[in-house]
Amino acid sequence: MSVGVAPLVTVTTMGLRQHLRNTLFAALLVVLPIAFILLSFARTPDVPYAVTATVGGVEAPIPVGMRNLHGAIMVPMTVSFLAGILGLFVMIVSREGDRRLLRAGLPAWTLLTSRLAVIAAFSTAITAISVAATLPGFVPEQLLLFSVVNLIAALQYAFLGAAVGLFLSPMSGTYLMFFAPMIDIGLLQNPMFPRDEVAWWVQALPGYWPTEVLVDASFTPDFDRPDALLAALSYLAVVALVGLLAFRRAIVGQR
Amino acid sequence: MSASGAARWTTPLAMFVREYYRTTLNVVLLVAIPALVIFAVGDAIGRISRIFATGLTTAMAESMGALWAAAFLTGMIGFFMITGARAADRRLLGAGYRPVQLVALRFIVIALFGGLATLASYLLLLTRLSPTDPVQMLAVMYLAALLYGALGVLIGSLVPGELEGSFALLFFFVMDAFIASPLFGEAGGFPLNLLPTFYPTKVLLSVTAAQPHDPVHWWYIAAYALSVSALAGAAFYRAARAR
Repeated sequence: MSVGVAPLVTVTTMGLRQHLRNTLFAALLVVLPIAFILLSFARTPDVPYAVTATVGGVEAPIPVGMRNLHGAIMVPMTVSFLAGILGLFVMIVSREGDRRLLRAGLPAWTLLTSRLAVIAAFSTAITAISVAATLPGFVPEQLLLFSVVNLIAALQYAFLGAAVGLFLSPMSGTYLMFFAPMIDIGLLQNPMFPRDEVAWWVQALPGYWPTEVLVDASFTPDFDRPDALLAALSYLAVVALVGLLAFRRAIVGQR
Repeated sequence: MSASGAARWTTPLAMFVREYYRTTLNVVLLVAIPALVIFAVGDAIGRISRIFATGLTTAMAESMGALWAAAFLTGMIGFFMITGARAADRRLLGAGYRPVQLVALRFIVIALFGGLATLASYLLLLTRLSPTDPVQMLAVMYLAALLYGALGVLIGSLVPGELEGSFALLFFFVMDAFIASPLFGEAGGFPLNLLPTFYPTKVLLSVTAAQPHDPVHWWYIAAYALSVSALAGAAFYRAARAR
């Protein structure tokens, strides 16, 4: 398999340009996360609330306040569904063109890497905008880790969206990529609910490990959950692999 | 109307309906999404609202979930029907249909699917509660579904791409369900009262709680639905003429 850097850069740049040329898309990419996160802060009552977090290896309840907690959890929720839908449509839009590019001789690996690079670039932008929108209302204790873990959540759903986009119709895919993160991160993993006994199947969902790290990064001054970060990164690697296999089956196998 | 005149309406209608149910997953999601939203989200919102002490009961949260599910499903159907219909519309125009007939046909299909989405949501809701006024509950859910269906048509006619169109439609849904939600207390006043399901939610919560509500809210809902439908009809007519 030959991997040329020049074709990779060209196809990636073309993919980025194709979407950025669309002014409405670019505007929505900026406006939506800001609107959702700022308005969430504005609408959440500032009532006292405590979450359980690990501090110095010991689990303890930490008073955080409902507004801060909602602000913190709104970030992975927003980035996950926006990145998921983006991943979905990047693949749907390029499905036919990709088959033609493969027939024209572009290596499959180059094409897939460029698609994932486009998705990763937009996911990073969505995450950066979302984290920045959080800061006026709430500053996480470990800002860098908070940003990294939100990016992991965004990439997980973006790659899942990409895999879904290879097989499903736009409507079915949009239903799935909107409701999956909402139910996973917004509901099942939400630290507003007790997380003492989390069912195995809830732990198997993409949002579990990022949320574990998120609580630590948001409300404790020191990094106490390297295990959770490692698990989140491993999950991301598995999801990327799933995306790769789906691409091979849907595009390379049918060119 | 003659047999061939009737066929000019029923044939494309059957074609549009087939477009939807040819994808089995679309039909599965018509039931799965209301079930997820009503059971899971309803339960969660019921629990969160106890923390916020908003007086929102689990039954009220579940009925809101049913309304959102019906509205969101119909909105998506409206949007993707318009964005995915360009080739079919061109063929129908080529076969002698007028743009105004296309608009009417598409709205009939959306009204039909809005009815199905509402019925699926309502029947699932009945497994959780016994409404004291089923007619009003069904009516307000159906109006919310039609409203979102028209919004989907409007966005689908104005926004050419499916990605940015989906984002635009989801903007309204997230604002309705998460930002203006009664979950965080009464969302009164401008600009949140301009959101599509603001008044439908108000009426629905009162009906679920068997409490009286201001009848003028029905007029607001009807006026909103008519306005969005008129805008959507005009935008789609303009787009259809250009096809």
